[in-house]
Amino acid sequence: MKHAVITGAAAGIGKALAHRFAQAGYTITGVDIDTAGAARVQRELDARVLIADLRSEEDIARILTKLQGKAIDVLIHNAGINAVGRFSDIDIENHEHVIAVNLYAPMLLTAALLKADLIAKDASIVFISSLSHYTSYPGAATYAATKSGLASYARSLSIALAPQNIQVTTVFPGPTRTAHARRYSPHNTREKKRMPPEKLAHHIFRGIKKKKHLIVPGATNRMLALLGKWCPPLMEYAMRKMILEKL
Amino acid sequence: MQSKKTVLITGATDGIGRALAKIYRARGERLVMVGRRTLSALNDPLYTKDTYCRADLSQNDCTNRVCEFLNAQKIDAIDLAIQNAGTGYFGSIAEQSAESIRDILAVNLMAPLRLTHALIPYLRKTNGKLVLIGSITHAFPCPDYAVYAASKEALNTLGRNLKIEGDINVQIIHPGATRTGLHRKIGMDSEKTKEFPSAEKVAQKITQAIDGRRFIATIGWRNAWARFLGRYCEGIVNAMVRTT
Repeated sequence: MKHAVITGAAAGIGKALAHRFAQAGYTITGVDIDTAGAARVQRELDARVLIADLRSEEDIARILTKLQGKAIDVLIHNAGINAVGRFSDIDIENHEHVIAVNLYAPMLLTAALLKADLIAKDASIVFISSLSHYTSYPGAATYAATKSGLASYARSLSIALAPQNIQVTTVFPGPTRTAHARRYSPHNTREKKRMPPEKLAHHIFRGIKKKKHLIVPGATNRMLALLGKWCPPLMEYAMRKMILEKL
Repeated sequence: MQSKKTVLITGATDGIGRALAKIYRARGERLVMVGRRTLSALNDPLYTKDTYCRADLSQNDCTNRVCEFLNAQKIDAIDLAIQNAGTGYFGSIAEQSAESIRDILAVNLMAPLRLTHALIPYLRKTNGKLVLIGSITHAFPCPDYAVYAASKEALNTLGRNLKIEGDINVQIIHPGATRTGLHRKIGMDSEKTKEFPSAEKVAQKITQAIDGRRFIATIGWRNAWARFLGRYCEGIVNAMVRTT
């Protein structure tokens, strides 16, 4: 049986991914800080969920020892946190946590798992970045920075690991209907327009099977990514109006 | 006569930072130079106890060190803050230690973020400018220094969003490869680095960019082209890097 490791698996996109991969017959190992959510996923899927705070290097070391002994076919770096507000209004500790969870933890886990030879041949390593990489995200400057850093790291990694036949995929989700989004959005009136996490998980699952390097899920998101890439001022203006000024 | 400006430079003991410090000193500005080494180890009249602030940017307390120094010097406003300090690693991703990853993210990303956070009130007083020194590698896949390139890409995005938020003037400057001590430190082939332009030359162009208005400036037209290709022709550039 193939083995998928998913961080942030207790809720939102991670949980939907756990369900999608379990449905395809994978053994799931989740990682999450939320004990109650982890217990729910464990019950629903007969999966193993390791409890860890990805801000803590000790916790990361602990889950690394628990991951020994079973090669990983799909590794999904999905866990992420945000801190919204004007840059100077956010406490420095919160900025720090965003970098630790969103950028440092995936790099640390990837390097350690490669070193321990736990990534199977033909495996996929998946990074959940954000559409903000293309569109900008004023009001979450550090979050956006980590997500772009992740995209860059994945791009380098895909070339470094090509000789070993390890596939690297970066996903740039737009607004998704999760508790995470609800927590960090200035207003939730357009919640229905956000992509359901199950649908996103399906996009990601299909993209990984097709060995795609980059996945921008959904036609609207693809259009926004193109606009942001080729006409940054336009998207930046829109993001300022839609997000920053409503915070 | 125009009054003296206060210019803060991190990573000022070597390479581009040191060259920048010399240029601004020649212009007669008031310098605040931040570096990891002790003043006595530097042994250079450029650094004095009134201009040199010893702070290790890989440590959490680095902003306290800098703010204490500014306090002691009775500096309450800064015209130009150049976040130049950077460190790297060269080699296989699987071989890179946790300490190395932590160090690069701390110096290249977390320290500029912390310092920016702390210096915003100083910069606001003068309507001053924050300059983030990136690297053209942010636009490329870099299999041998993935964490370094990622830290610079994160810095680029941080700067971009700070600009949109509009609280301070921000500028991002991307130099290309430069002949500095960094390559030797991280174990890169020293033969190759001989062809790179000198830190003095690059620093000169950086000051020109700082005097100019361009929000994201790349040093050198070849680097500017390379960066454009790296960003907009991703597939082709990836394939090129893969075959070399």
